[in-house]
Amino acid sequence: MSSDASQTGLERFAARTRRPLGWVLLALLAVYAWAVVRAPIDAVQGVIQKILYVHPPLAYGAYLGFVFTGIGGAIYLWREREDWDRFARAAAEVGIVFCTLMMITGPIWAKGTWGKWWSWDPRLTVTLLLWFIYLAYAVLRSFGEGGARTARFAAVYGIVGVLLIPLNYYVIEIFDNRSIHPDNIERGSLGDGMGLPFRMGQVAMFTAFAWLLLLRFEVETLRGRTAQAIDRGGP
Amino acid sequence: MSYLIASYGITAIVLLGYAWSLLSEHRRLGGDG
Repeated sequence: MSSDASQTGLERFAARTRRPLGWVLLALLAVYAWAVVRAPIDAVQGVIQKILYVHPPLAYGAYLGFVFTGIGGAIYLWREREDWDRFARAAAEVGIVFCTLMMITGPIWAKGTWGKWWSWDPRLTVTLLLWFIYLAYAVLRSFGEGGARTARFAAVYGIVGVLLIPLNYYVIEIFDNRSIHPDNIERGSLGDGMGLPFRMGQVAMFTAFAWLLLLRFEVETLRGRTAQAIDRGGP
Repeated sequence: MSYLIASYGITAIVLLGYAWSLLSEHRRLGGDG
C-alpha cells in the first residue's frame, strides 16, 4: 500500500514495515528449516517428535492473534478510531488461521504418539472452545450489519475472549497435571540440541504472524477505501 | 515420518495459500500502486 497524507499512523507503520519484514521472514524460514532438519531424533517418540517445532509456535501465534484482537478492540472503544477496529478484525482472522493449523497438527501428533486423533482432555477441550469463540467473532464480522454498533460489540466480545487464553495455557496445571496433553514447555525442559529449532520455530512463526497481520490489515484498509469510493459513485 | 510430513506440509500449504490470496487481493485493490 502506497503512503499518503490521509493515512493513519497505524496504516503508515504497516505500509513501511511489511515489505522489509517479508525479507526477514524468508531468511528466518530458511534457518528454521535447516534447524528442524538438523535437530536430533528423540529417543522415545522418534522422528514424529519434531512436530514440537511447529505445533507450539502455531499455538503462540493463535494466542497473539486473539490478544491483538482484544487490544485492537480496546483501543477502538477508547479512541473510537476505525483503523484499530480493522486491526482487531485482521488479528482475529490471522489468529484463526494459526489456531486452525494448531488444531490440525495437534491431532496428527496425537495419532502418531497416543494412537488416537482426539481426547476430551482439558487442554484440547478449552482449545476447541477458543477456536469456536473466534470463529464466532469472524462470523459476526462477516455477516453483521457493519458500522459502529457491530464494531463496538465485536470489540467487547474480543476483549472478553482474551480471558480464555490464560485458562487455555494453564489448564494443565489447574487440572493438576491429569491432562493427557504434555506440560507447558519451560526453560531447560527440552533435550540437547532441541532448544535451537524450538526457538527458531517461535521466531519464524511470530514473524510470519506479524507479516500476515500487516498484510491482512492493509487489505482490510483497501477494502474500506474501495467501498467508500463506490458509495461516492467513484471508480 | 508420514505424520511429520503431513504436519509441516499442511502448515506450509495453508500459510502459503493464505498469503497468496491476501497478496492477490492486495494487488487487485490497488495496493503498492
